[in-house]
Amino acid sequence: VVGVVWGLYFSPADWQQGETVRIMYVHVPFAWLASAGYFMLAVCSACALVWRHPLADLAAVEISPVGAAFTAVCLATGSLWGKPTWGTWWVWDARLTSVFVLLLLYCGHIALVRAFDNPVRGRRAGSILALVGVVNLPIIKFSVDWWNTLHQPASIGLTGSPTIAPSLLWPLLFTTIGFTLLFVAIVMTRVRAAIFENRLRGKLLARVSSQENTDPVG
Amino acid sequence: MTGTIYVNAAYVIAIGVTVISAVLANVRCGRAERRLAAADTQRDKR
Repeated sequence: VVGVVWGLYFSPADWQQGETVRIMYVHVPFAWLASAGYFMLAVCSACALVWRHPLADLAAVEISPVGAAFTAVCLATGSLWGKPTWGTWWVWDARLTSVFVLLLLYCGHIALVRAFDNPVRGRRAGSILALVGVVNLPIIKFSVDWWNTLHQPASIGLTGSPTIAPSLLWPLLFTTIGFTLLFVAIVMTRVRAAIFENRLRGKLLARVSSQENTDPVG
Repeated sequence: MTGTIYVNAAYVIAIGVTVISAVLANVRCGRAERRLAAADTQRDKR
């Protein structure tokens, strides 16, 4: 909330982009969470495939719809920034295309997990897809360096000082932390709900099987 | 002025999707918790 209010009302407008620079305060956190969410999905998928960890399996299934929603918002807000700044809603440049592929990977994961009659097989197929799709993450990150794209290169990196003014950087950090915490909270709530649903399904199955055992057949 | 429309639209989409996701997750969790509690109560009655 602090980051959003700061970005909307108190941070200065950019000398070149004007008011549209404020879109950055929501676009950048959603772009970061789109990639970070997929990384989390891949880690959970790896844990589920290698160690057959049931919680990792559940988390992988629950991360993908949230990640897909956040990737769609990233593309939508980027488009809303592109129209007044570039003069177009969409260009097929490397960064935009690779993020669009990320959205397709999320959607593919959601569909594949639910496409099998046997949920275990569905989740396993989804995990393999998630691990294969990880190759897209470095492509997203380095697309602006490897190819000549309309999208600008990164302004903030782990090494070197940021090339963005502090008056714009601080609200961006606040919105990034805030939306990251919200993403984690939403995923954790969904995982909690999935655990309750699994326990409920187990109880119902146990009740049905105990009734079948007590009722005489024929 | 035109820029403001794009900014407002971006914030409405971003905050709207986040809030809807959070509400849906909480509703689903609350419903599952209530159904589980009801199943436990039913079992205890027996």
